[in-house]
Amino acid sequence: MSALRRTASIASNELRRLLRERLARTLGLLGASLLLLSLGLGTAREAQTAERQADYAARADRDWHTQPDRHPHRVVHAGDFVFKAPGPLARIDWGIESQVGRSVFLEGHRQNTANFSDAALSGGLLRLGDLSPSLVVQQWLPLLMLLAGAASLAGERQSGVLATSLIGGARGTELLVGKASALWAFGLLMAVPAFLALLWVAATQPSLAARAAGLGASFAAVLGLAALGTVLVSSLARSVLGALLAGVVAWFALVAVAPRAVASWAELTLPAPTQAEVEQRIAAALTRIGDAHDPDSAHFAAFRQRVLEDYGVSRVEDLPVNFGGLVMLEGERLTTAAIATEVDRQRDAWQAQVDRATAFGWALPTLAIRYAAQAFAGTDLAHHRDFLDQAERRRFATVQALNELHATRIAALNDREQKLDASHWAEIPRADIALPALRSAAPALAATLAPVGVWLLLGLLALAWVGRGLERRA
Amino acid sequence: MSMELRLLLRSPLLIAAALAAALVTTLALLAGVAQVRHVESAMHDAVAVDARALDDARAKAEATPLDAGMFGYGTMFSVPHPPASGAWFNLGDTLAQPAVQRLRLLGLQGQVHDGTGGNPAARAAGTFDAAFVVAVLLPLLAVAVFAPLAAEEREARRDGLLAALVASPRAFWLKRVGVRSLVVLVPVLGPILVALLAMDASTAFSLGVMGGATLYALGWIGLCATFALRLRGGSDAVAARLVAVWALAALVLPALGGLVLDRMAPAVPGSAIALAHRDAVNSAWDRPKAETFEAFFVHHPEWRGTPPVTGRFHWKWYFAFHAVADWRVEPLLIDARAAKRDRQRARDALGWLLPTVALQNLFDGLSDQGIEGDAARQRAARRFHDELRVAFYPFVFEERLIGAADIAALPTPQPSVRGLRHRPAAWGALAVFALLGLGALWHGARRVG
Repeated sequence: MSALRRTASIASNELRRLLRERLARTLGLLGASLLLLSLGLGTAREAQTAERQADYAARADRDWHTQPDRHPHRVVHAGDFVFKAPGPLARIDWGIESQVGRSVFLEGHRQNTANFSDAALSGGLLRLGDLSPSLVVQQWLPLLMLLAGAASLAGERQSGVLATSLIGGARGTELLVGKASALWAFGLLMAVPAFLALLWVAATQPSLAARAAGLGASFAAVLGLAALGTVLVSSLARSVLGALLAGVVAWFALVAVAPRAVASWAELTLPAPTQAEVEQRIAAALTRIGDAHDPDSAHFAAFRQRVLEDYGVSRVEDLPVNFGGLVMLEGERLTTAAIATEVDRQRDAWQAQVDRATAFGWALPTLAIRYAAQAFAGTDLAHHRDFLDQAERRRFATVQALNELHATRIAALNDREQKLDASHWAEIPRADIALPALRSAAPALAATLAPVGVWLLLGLLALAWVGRGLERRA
Repeated sequence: MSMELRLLLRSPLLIAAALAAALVTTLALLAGVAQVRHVESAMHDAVAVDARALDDARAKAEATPLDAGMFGYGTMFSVPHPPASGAWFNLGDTLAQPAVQRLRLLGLQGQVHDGTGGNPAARAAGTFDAAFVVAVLLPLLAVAVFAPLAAEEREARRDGLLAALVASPRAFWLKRVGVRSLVVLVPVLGPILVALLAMDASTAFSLGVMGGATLYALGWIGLCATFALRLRGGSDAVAARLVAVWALAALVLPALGGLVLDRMAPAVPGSAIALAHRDAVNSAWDRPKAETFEAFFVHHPEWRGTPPVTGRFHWKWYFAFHAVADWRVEPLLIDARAAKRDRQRARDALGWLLPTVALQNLFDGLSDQGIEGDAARQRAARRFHDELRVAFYPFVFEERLIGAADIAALPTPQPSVRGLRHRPAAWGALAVFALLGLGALWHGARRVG
């Protein structure tokens, strides 16, 4: 028999044992139903949120288009709402979505933050742990695999079956690889509901297929790590109990303690500016620029000189356009840049915290998978920032289009008493928010996932090494 | 007793587990204290910066008094929202909420629902604090310590000997369970006790934390020991089942309960209130000014006699419609509060089924987290906003400039008041859990094997 055939037969025997044994079967059913439950509840909650958001978005749209005749600057201040629609993959991994707001109010002279997240302030039970389908696969299926598989080698050693198999001609490495494959298959079987959900997303929304595939691969990888880890701990432990307890402690450290402790540590060692600090620094920067509503400030005096020279006239009154509108355009350009500087400082600092936490992926591959899955689902910090950046670009485009109207369609004389016909509001750009192509996240994802590949390889090498040791000891 | 203790000290696995648990507990306590210090220093910084800005304005007003409307529009005040005194133990929502609520004279409800706490990605990872360790790690420790309780005797073939030698199985097992309980209690509760003393925590808080944690631990110890005594099979089979029970009861079901709660008692999102407020403000611009003032004078009749606004814009009209917008969204606020109370009741009810939820409820009450913690922030903001409006209206309605002395006389924001709440339902649920656990153990320990 070839090595491959022997390994395959070991694997199929072990899988049959797992599917037949009462404890393992119970655990398998538990895992699959947990996943189904989480998919159901996650989908229901997402659907509810999406429905509410669609309502708000429709209302914001209606409000925009039913505005009466107004001065364009009034429209700048009346503002607009923009909503984030995280898409169907957020039902599988909602990442940081429960911690962030999904709407931003867009208005002139300000870059508003997203609203408070509802979950964070409403006394939810999230603190004990989240239960997205993705986290069920990443955290709970590995635990169930451990419980079902801890006995595989340690048990056979205790009962003497191990020695018999090795005398019977099986190589140690084949034995371990076979058992790990079987356990992996057991994990994949429990994860079938998640894979089906991913397939459904990929089939109904082909643009998300690459993301769905990435999530699927992450799931397969984490279950593979769990299989390798379980078989290793089971073959190294002296007793089944020892294997179980060592495995559970490692699992708890990886799944429950590490993500929290690492995130907390990154947050404390790389402090980010608070919201108040950002606002205060923006206020200071804006004071330096001067108020766009105040054409007499130093900056705007120089600006006026430039405009007069550009148009070759000597008085503001002789300009073919409304100088007040030009001041608004210039003011918005300046304030937008100044605000962006401060807002980006905070967002860069947050991303740096996440990067520092992600770097721990080299030590804790499960952490790397956790961050990668969020990125694939489009629900990580980088994607949230992309949403905020898109919202800000839309805000700037909208406001400047209105300021253009102010400069060109409103006469300078009696500026504030005039109104523009409401038909203009439909022409103002209000770009839709789109999920960025996966390509933009690819370099970061590759860096995040590199340790996972290395660890899978290390796990296989360890398996081969321990397998040879197994033969010597037997 | 000393015999049992010696037996215990000879088990490297148990000693390693106890040391690891003590280490994790200590780290969680240190992390909690560090996070609280971090929030407090950010809070003091923010308050200081706004105080300095106010000083600058006062210095400017010293030379020439300022336009009151413009000053009210542009001046921000920081209302401090300090972490609750027990936050180092149970961070709760401390890091999700802003440490200061910055406010100005505009409508309150347009301001209190916008903003962010710290890094949302760090929040999504979950909170690492001592409360989490007690709720989740402590029962896992109990599983590890008690799973082999009876099975190891069977595996060592001592069970027959024991049955022959032991006169009272109950006394024998209870003594063993009692001694092994030390391995569960000391590594977790020991560091917490030290921290309570070092942090100079109040007696009520200390007793609450230690009492709640002890009841919770007793429930788990009783449960695990009973399973270990009554389940057949090897210690590994017992351990696998207990780990599954632990995972379900301490982590999976509470999280699932959270999702169900979201469905059953949905929160009224703050964004809905902010949106309604924005609508009210926006529509006021296009409505007759008299309408706004009529609504405003209902609450502030003292300004009824002031001259009407005839021009396009006047600050008193602007501030009046912001205030009117606040009153207009009041029904939504009442709904939101009712929804939060419903949610609290649902959580209390869930606590009777899931001791981990009861423990979290108890800790949240003791350290003023959750629904009440956020309510404290909003109350403090509202109180200051009301004081500020009352102090400010004379300047805009009497069309006076605001001078340095006037600015100095403006109200100072007072920090939100955090308290300690006892949650009878949580105490009840934990007491029942402990009694059930110990009762089961009493019953289960009647035979040796």
